[in-house]
Amino acid sequence: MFKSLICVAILAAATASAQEWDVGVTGGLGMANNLTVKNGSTSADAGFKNGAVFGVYGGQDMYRYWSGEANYLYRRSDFKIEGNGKSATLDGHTHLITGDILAHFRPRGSRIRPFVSFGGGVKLMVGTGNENPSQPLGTLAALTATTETLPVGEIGAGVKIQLSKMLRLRVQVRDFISGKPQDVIATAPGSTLSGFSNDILGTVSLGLTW
Amino acid sequence: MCFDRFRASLLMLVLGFLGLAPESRAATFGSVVPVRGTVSDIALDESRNAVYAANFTAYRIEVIDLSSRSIRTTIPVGRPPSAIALSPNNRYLIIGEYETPNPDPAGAPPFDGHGGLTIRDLNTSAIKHVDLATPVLAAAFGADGQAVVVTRAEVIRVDPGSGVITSLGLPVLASRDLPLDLGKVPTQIIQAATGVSLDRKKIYFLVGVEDDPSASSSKSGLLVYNADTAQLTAEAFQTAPPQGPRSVAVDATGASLVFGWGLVHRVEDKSYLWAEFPGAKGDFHIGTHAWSTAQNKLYSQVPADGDGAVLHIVDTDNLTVQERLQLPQNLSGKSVLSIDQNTMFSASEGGVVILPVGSLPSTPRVAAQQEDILFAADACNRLVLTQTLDIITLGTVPTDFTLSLPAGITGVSLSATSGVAPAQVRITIDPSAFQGAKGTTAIPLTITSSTGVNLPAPVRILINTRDFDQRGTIVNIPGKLVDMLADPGRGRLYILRQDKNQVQVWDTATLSLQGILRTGNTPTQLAMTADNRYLIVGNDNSQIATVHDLDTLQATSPILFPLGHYPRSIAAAATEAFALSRNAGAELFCAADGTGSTPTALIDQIDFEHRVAFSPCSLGGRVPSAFENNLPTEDGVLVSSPDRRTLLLALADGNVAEYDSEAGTWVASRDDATALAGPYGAIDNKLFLVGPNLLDQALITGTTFQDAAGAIPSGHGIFGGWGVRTLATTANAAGTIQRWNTSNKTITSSTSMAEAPITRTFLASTPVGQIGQSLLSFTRSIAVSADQRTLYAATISGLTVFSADFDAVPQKPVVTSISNPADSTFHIATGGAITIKGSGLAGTTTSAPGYPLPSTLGEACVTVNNIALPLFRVSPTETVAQLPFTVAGSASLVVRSPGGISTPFPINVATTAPAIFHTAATSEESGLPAIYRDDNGGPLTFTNPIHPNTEFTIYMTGLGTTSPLPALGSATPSEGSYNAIQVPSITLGSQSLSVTSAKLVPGLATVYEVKTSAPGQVQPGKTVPLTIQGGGASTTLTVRVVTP
Repeated sequence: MFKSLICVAILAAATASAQEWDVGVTGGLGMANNLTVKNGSTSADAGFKNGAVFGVYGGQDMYRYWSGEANYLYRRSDFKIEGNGKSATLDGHTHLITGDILAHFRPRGSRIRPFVSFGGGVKLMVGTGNENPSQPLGTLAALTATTETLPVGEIGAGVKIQLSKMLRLRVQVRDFISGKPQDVIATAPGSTLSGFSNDILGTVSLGLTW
Repeated sequence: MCFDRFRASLLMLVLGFLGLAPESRAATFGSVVPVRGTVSDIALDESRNAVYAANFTAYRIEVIDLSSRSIRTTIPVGRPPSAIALSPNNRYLIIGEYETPNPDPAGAPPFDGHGGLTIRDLNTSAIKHVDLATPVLAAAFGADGQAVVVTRAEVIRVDPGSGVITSLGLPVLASRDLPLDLGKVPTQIIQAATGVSLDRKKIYFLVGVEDDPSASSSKSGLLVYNADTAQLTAEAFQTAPPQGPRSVAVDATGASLVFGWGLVHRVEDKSYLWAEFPGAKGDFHIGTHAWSTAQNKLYSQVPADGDGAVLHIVDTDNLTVQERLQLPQNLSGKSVLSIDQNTMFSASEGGVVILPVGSLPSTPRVAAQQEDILFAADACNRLVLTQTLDIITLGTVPTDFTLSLPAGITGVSLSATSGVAPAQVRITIDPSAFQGAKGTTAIPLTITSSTGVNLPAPVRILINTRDFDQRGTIVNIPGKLVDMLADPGRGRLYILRQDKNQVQVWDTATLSLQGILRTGNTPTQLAMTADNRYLIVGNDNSQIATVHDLDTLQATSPILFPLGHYPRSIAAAATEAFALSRNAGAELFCAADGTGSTPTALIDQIDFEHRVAFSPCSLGGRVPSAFENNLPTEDGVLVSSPDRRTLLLALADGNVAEYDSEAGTWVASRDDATALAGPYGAIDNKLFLVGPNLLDQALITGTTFQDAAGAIPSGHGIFGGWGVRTLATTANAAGTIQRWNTSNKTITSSTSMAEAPITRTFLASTPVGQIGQSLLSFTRSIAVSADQRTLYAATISGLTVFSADFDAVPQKPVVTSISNPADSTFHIATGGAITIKGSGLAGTTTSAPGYPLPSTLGEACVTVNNIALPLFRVSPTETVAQLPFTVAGSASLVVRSPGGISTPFPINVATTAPAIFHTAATSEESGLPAIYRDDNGGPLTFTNPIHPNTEFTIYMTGLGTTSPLPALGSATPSEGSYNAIQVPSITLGSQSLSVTSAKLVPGLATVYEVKTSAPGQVQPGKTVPLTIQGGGASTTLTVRVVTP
């Protein structure tokens, strides 16, 4: 899945070479909701800790109000589980690779262009820390140093501000929606993890346009 | 005669070839420098490497060379030399001379009774002769360089340089005139001895004061010369036996000295007998004393019946015997120590004996590490029992030893009867040889050595062959335990060990020894003051009672008793305290005409504040008693009521008396019984127990317990509001513990004890040397814990401990299931652990104290096919045991407990039945399978899963026999590897794992460890089955496997 999406992004860039281009870098903060893990009457919150986000993007304003772009985001996202006065974490991060369509509320060439976006891609969660053999709340779920990929959908909104002829600032909030992890937060036999993962990223981007 | 001697030699030669030579005696300590004659006194001159020995009968001084240990030269003397002393600066040798011989050998009388002195300047060889009117008896130098010489008529001070004599006065003394009967030696003739303190400021002379033709007068005197004041004082006393040996040894400052058979402390210039040698015979001519201030020990020979020439090393405070050494011959009279106190020189029967006391650590000596070895056999375990006895050297020299049992003993065997210490000897007991006893059989194991110079104490082999209807847990406490007293306020039990002159302080909660309190010699009874702060101990061979502060466990000033009074029993009422004292001939002057009487025993009243006792003419109190202070026997006891209002006096001749603290006097006395013995005590201030009798407040016998014929009452106590008494029949039989109702005075239960309680008869043994033994007819052998939940009875092996429900009717054991304790399934295997569930399985809940596992625990045992199982823990409902390695297939399990014998329970024992222990735990979980990852040491859990190549160890039971096979019930030795013969197979999911090893865990029994590892490619999953298969059995659990 990952390899095929990379190919799509390269292909899209190649086909837009004759249009107005926009490439830039992104930084921000990610915040995820908590999922509930239960085993009988025992429950805890599991999920990902807040973390910094960095990334790159490239896109093309193909139409008067519509544009498309490809995004790569690296999000620091330590795994966590907490409840009953106990907690455990495991170092980890997430790679987000998406293709997005942006619908602008002002036409191309406007200095300020609010927009909404939607798209999809993959979310690659990587546990990098050392597993704790006696991890607290281990009877509910284990935070595991492994890799797990999930499809992810994304919606967002933001505004682009043309600072100069070639420099554009973008402020954007996106919600990356995915299913629950199964491997990096592995539920113990008898436990269930319920809910969807909403990873909300607020970012600021600076791009070059030509 | 010559023929007889030849025939005896030939016999010894033949026996020697046959290896049947008579048992060799111990080697002897010290070497003899023979002297042709008799030595009356010695002086050590280390500056000239010589000892001067006064050869009384040969008219000369033998100068003994210390290097060659032979006579270097002799100094002739005109009269028999009776005393010799060397000045502190080693210049002057003063020789006391006894009587002047008639120059005509045929003339009469042969001696004229005049004595004399020779003063020899050893630097110049100048000699001064001084003629004296009477014989010289003793001489010594003080720190002032002046010689003090005791003659029969007076004591004089002599300046050795000028020869000037000053009379110190004092009365006429006694010694025997020459010539005397054949066989008499100087100590019997002169009858005087001297001892000087290390600082030379005090000189003590033991002298005769009565002209006794037998030369063993009971009347002696003690002269005390103070070199600081040049004053001489004197005391005279009469003793039985006479004050022999005639030898004096003094401590560093002269505050304490030992002479004859007594250890005396000087308090305000008065002598108090702190302790005496218990077995003294009073012989003047055998024995000696030397006081080592460096070692704080006394080296003494005081002859005892049947003891021979034995040197005792004893403590200086109470004459406790620490060690006994065999001497080459009897010592006789004076002993001196070298300046470094490493060598002792003693006048002896044959000359001078040199004893290298400082070299004892490098002198061969042997002993047993253990005083007792207790074998607990039972109805389950008729197999032989084995324990190890450690024979040790007391020094640094390997020493040979020989062990011997009394003739005719069967059922006891030794792995070796001789060897070289340090060594271990296995003692093996066949319980069936003692099965008829039902109690504890005590067998002495004698230790001898041909090269060791000491006389080691025998080891007591105790073999208990109780049945399961016999109650109580035996706690082995070696020694002669003659009294015990509970201290509920402090949770303690005080046990009086007479042969070591000590009180053992035991914590009743943990039943552990908290401390040792030193007593006088041969302590007989314990008592606490009315405020329970002090513990007082009466002694039969000390004229003091020791006092210890129970808050600090420190000794305080003892109670001093009148001369000749030995406090054997003490009791404290609310405001007064009394002692029943044995009286050694002291007169009590109470008649109107001033004449005295000499009671056999009497009551001494104690002034505790001033720590002195005095003898009232009546039995005493705040007001005189109506009863004369003259007891017909010293064999009796005093005891207070719990509220301290009354005291009971009970005598073995049947007399009883009662003290009322409110009246302040002895208010009642009766002699209804012809004899009394056994337990004694006050139930309250109106009811007393003596032997089998209950006496009311007027001491009238209201109830007499009708005991079975041959039953001997031993102890009495109040336990949870009930009366409790113990009885014995014979020493090796079971005892009986009875509960009785204090209201209606009827016995409500009678229960068999694990072993017999102590009685006077059982405690008695053949006296050994100067180790005291004074046993009262009365015994206090029961004590109760503060919470009234535990009762302690003094019994043959030490203590037997009973719970409050000791006489509860026990439930018959019923077995309902057998499983393995690892995973609680019913799969059990040869040599593995099993859990027996049911009811009535044991009398108590307890665990084995360690390895090897006992086959009897908590008054229960288990057999499989009549093989006793080692027991990990027992309780009434669950017992964990080890199956034998020799049982496989169908078998029958039987439990024996206080309730009886269970119905045989059929079991099927597999050769292997793997079962993983569930003993692992994390901070959140317990009861996890005991599977541990080798890389992080953590148990295998969901958060600590198996990864590719993970190595892990599984702990289980049920892997069957191993090679080699450990002893049943023993911890697996750490040396070597005890590998399972049938290695189990292990699968993880569908993958087979390689087993690195499968063996018993060192230090444990029934626990195997199996080491294995996951393959490089694993099938991940949250619940992957892990299966261990061995033989036809298997066990499976699920584990999490992740990748990578």
